[in-house]
Amino acid sequence: MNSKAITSRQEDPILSRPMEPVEDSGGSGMAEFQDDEFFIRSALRSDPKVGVELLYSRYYSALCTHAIKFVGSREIAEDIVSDIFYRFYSGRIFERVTTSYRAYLFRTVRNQGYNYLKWESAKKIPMEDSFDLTSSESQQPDNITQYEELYQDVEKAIATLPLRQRSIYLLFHFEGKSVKEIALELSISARTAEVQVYRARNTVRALIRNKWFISILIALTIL
Amino acid sequence: MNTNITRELLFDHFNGSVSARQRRLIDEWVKKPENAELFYKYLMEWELSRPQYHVDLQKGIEAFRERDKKAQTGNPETVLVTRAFVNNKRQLWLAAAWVVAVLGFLGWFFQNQLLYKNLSTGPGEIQTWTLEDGSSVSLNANSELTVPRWGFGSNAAREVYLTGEAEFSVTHKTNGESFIVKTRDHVDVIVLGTQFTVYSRPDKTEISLNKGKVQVQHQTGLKREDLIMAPGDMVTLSKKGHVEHNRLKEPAQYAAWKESRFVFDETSLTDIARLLENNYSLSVEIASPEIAALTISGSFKAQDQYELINSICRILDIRYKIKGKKVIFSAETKPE
Repeated sequence: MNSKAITSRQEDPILSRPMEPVEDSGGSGMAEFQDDEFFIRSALRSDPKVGVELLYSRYYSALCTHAIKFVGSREIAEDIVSDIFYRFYSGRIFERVTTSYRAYLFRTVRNQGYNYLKWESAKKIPMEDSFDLTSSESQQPDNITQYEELYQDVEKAIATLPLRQRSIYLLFHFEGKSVKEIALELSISARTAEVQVYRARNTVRALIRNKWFISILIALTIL
Repeated sequence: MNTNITRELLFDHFNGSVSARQRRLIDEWVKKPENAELFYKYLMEWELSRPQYHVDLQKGIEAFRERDKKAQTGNPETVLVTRAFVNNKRQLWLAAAWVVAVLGFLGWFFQNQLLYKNLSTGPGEIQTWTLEDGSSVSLNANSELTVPRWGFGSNAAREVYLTGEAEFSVTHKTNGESFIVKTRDHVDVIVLGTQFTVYSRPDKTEISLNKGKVQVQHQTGLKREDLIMAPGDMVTLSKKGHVEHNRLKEPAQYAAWKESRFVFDETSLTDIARLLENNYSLSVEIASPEIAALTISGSFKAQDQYELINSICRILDIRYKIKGKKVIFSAETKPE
């Protein structure tokens, strides 16, 4: 057993991603964005819990609807966003964020959305390992617009599904309905609904994997 | 370059209806921090203008409060584990059942692994750890220290088990609680805030004290015997139970290995061979009996076994050959 962990704490995949340095470009540009969070900023300073709840009210919904575009499931989207908020709070990340909180939160959600898809594409590796894989800067998309391209590909992949499969998939993942509820609504058997959900998910996953994460698969096969 | 990246263009981009060239322009534009801010601002506006589903904000905040409450009372490590990556309820239950079953079995089967953790070093490796009570320990190559996993330093005695060689720097506890290093040949080194090294390999056990005061308990026949050491003392216990209590010339040199330094004081090649075997898992053969008794005095820095072997041979004017894990020392002049 390697016990280095005793002295060096496990690096947080979110924390360890350095923030992009913010140049002080005359000040006017950045100040505007931070002013608009002035109230939250001072709340975080006096009582982080209250501050985070304010952040929730302002950003949680938008972050969740953004995350779901990547991960295609409301449950997972909410978990990812909640995790980010929680780490932001427990790791006192708000003390170190140099951009607006909005920029930080959105950027982190997008990273985690990407990481999730990558992890899902290579289910063979345990999650921690894939987190390691993805936490390094070089593994992330180089350009910001690639994140849009990625979630648009997820949308396109869902659009390729046969109509009935697609509606079952959307009911299950987006509406968060159970297989039983879907079966009742569409008057099919629960088993059929389950199979459709499973097949749909595999189709979507395969399409994303083949376009975005094929290299990990190759790497895995070689290993 | 300030191209006209407008809110409309970004909205089109979020909707997936811009050209590749326009995308590249956005990538360039967004590199300026204030533009990145604008990007995320519009992204949020766009998100709110076409929500994909109704998000239950209250539920989200409740979950956050719940998690925070749990973290205040419980173990924060477990709180960070979420269900995010188990996306099926049944899978979750199955996973939970498995975890319980496996943990139960492992707990029963690996009691020692649960109760103790091992710090260890491989061949040629030197590493330093800080223990839970603030004491630090450096292990020389091929050594292992077993430390209680739970409540180290908070309950009665701090007891650790050593095979190999280690330097300890023990923090003093106000409650006078002792720190005990146990070795395989039933030597106990009892400490109260001090710095010392323990060597415990098959050939012998050796303790050298740098600072403070330690008590050494060892087995002599059927009796346990006690011995108090003062700074600068060295106690050697041979395999046969023979005890030697000496003054060190320079106590710090007994932990010279910590800086990859080797200190020899009329050390014979036979002893050096044992060091190579212990620290680097090599098997050493001295081909010419006449060189086995040659001795070295002095201090060397060597990062690895090759550097060390090389220096030894240069000083003693002998030859060496390395075949995998085997090292053969022979006399310089070979009849050819």
